[in-house]
Amino acid sequence: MMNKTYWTKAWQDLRQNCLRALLVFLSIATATLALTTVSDSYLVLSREMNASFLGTNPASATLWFRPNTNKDIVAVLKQIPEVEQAELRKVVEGRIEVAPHEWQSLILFVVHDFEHLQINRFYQESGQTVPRKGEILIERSSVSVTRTSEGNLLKVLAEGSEPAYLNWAGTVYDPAQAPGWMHGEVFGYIQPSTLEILGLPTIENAVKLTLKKSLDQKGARERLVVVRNHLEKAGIDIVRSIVPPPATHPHDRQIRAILTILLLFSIIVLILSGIVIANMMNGFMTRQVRQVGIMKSIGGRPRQIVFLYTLFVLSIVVVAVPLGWVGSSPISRSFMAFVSGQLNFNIQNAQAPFWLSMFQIAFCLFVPIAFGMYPVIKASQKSVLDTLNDQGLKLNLSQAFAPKIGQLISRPLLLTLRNTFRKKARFWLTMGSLALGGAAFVASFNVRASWQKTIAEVESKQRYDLDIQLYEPVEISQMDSLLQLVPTVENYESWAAAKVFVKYPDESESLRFEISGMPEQPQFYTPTIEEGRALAVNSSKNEVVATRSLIFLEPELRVGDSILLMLHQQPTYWHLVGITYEADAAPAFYTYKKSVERQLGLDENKAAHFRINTTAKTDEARVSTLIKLEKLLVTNGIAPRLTKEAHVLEQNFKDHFVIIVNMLLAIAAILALVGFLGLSSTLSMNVLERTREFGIMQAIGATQQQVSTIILSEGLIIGVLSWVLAVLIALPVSFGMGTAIGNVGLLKPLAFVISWEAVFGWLILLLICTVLVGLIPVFQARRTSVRDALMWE
Amino acid sequence: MIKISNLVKRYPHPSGKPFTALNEIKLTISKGEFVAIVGKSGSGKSTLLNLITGIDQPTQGSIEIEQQAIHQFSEAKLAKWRGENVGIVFQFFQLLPTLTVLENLLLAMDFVNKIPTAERTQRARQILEQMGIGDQMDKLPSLLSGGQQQRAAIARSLANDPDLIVADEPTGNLDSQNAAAILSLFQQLLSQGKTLILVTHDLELAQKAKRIVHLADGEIIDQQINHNHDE
Repeated sequence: MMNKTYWTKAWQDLRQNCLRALLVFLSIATATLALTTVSDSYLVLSREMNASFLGTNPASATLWFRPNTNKDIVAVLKQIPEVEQAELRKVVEGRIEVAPHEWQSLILFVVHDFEHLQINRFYQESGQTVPRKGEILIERSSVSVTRTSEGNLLKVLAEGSEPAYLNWAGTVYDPAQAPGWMHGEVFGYIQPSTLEILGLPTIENAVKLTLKKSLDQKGARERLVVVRNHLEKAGIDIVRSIVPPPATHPHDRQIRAILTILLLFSIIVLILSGIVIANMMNGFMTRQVRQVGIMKSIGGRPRQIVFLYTLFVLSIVVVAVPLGWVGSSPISRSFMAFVSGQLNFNIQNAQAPFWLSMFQIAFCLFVPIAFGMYPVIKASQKSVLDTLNDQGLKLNLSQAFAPKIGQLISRPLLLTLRNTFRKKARFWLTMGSLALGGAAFVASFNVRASWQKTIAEVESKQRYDLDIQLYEPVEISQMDSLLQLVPTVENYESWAAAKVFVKYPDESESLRFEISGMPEQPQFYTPTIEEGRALAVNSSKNEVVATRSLIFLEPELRVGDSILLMLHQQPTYWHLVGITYEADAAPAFYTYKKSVERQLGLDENKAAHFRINTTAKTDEARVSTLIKLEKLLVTNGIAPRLTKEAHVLEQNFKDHFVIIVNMLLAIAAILALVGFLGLSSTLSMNVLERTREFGIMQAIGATQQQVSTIILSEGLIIGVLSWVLAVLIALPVSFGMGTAIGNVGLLKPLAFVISWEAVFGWLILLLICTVLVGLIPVFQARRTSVRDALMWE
Repeated sequence: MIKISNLVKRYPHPSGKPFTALNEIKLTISKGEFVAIVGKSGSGKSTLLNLITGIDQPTQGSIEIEQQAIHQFSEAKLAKWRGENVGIVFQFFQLLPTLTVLENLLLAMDFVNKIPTAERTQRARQILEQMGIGDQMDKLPSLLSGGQQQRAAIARSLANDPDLIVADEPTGNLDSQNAAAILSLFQQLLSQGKTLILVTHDLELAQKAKRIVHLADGEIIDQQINHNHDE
């Protein structure tokens, strides 16, 4: 049984060191809270995001077939050994009016059996489960885009038909869709008979299927070729097919990357709290070293002495870790709810796995104990003579400020400088922890500045405000006269646009992308060539460049390849000459307008895509111009397929990034907090250890103000030096984070930018906080009378 | 002149009943006088010294030094007064370990600002030469012997040219040879007109003073004039 005197000593030590023990306690509890919150969120969000996605039973592929077939394609597919399930699921693109003459994109899913969904399942949130003819269900993340509410009529315009009204009968949750608000899209679900109301044929032309074997995208494409051969043998003519990236949520990579960065930051927080406890124990053992000598001289063995002081460390850690761990629960749940809400997926089970909880507790206990025990073990290994003769603080003048330097500066300043560097290990630990906190702070702002610069670059390249696409090309001269009727239209460019997909040599097909045909000398937009070369104006070949985001989805495409693009069901051959990079560019091919016209046999005096620049300075003014144009086009019998304000996407991008930066800043704030706790602990220990020295100073004439100045100056020196180190550390950290976040979010590293506001803002914050934490030991010193200080041991 | 009237010092005690360290002390010390305060451990010697130097505050009574009632001074005023008028020599030297011997003297001058800045280094060197440790001035205190450290401490006490020097067991930590040397230094100070108050339990050392004040249980039980004192 453990000796009672051990506990008595630990308790007395704790009582006598209550302030520093409290600082250490707070830093360990904070670090545990941060690490537990982020690691719980990492595991739960990744698990739930993919579980919610896989719960929909995502399609392995979608096939489009010629609708005039009499064959039951679902029945045929189910007989193919590779196919597990198949379900008809036509998709119709259109628009929805969200305010008078203001339209947003609409994707309509035509569902046969709402009650027995097999593939790409979605779930009822409110209202009706099964819409009747003329009714529509809306995906919940699109609700805000509609600017109305369930139960109201929605004005819908399907591709190639007249506007119709559908009753919003219910709201569903579809985890397979990217959040509708993110790109200003509305996802709707209707039954086949509603197509009649929309003026569309009710015949089916698309089927979704799942494969029996779990495969990567390439493997699934190869297997799909086999499936297509089966169907064609059965007399079903497949127009095209797509194989999406298999079995992962569209945002899986992004969320994992961000959470990994947060997790690394949290581990740094825990290590910092370990440093704080090491610092405290170092100071504590400096004062205890004679006691260690006495205990050894009366028979105490090193093991017993280590155990005695282990109780002291344990008494702090075993309370702080569970407290931080329990405290993390509501925070991690709120954080997870926020992220899942942003990315539109439900968390069915917010509980972290048991093994993770055990690991968190063990890790959070181990790190501070390991750090805290080092000074204890070191002290316990000293000889009895050394411990009894230990004078506490030693200084080698050759390593400090030499007397000659000392003559150049005032003695109080010299004293401050020498004392700051007196305990080298403590100085470096304190400065290091503050520097890490500062580096995280500055790096977070640098990343934000890098992001803003990248967005600004996009904005500077995109010199148009409105994007209008039509169902049918119109005479450019006609459009020109119409645009002149709107005073806020400044100028415009006519482009060509069409949907294409790549057909690979093995007959497999890519996703569907837009090919944009730009004027030979575009004023509003110039692709930035990242690899290969720009389009040659006078090339006789069909040349295209692809965006980096397209290459990311279709990695088999290489610069220099000859590629087969299916353009309006027609095979066309192109030469891929380069890869462009635009931060917010959707996956697309770019070529010259004349090349698209040549391939499609279009009249070069006509166009279906117009990019327009306005004199409007605000979003509201641009939307107002867009509404006027919409009215004008419809009045003149021209059907717009898409009308959008070009800046909406940028704002969404900015909004998303604010979330990431805020998360980084929250962890950086915790790092800084732990750093300040460490500084506070160090200054407090320095003052305690030198209590007698302060007494001597006052005895020889120093006022309390002069003593306070010396204490605060020590803090400020550590603060300013840590600032220099923080800025130096922040540079590679910002670069690494900018590269990681940029690669995840934008497929390329962010431009490296130093936020001088953050660099100097951190210095100001550091100075203010250093003075504030320095005031604790100042008051501590002021409370001690000269007599008590002189008697201090 | 130092005039101490009805001085009482009590400290709180865990039993609840305050402990009286000094009781109704009345003492007058003339300028330039050498007074030794003797008594056993716990007799109140150091408490009296702390009250005279303003390091501690009395519970009752008054202390007037050169017609200034120092018991009424604030902490800040006391610090300034002490720096300008009192030099303290401690038993354990109490030199600041991170400053060289010279810097220890300069710090005292810097705090008080009594000696013009331009004269400080020269004065500090001069005092250290007088104390016989001029060759040690650029060393840290830890590298000096006990006797040298005490000389440095006395030198520091003289840094601001105070009229009153108080020394608490200044030879308690020294061998007899060093103790004799320190005593000789005190004699030099007396010849310069300084007032010297020495606290000691060493009766042989006390015999060198002009007056010996005996303390026991916080009270003055005897005062004797030393007729053998060499004026």
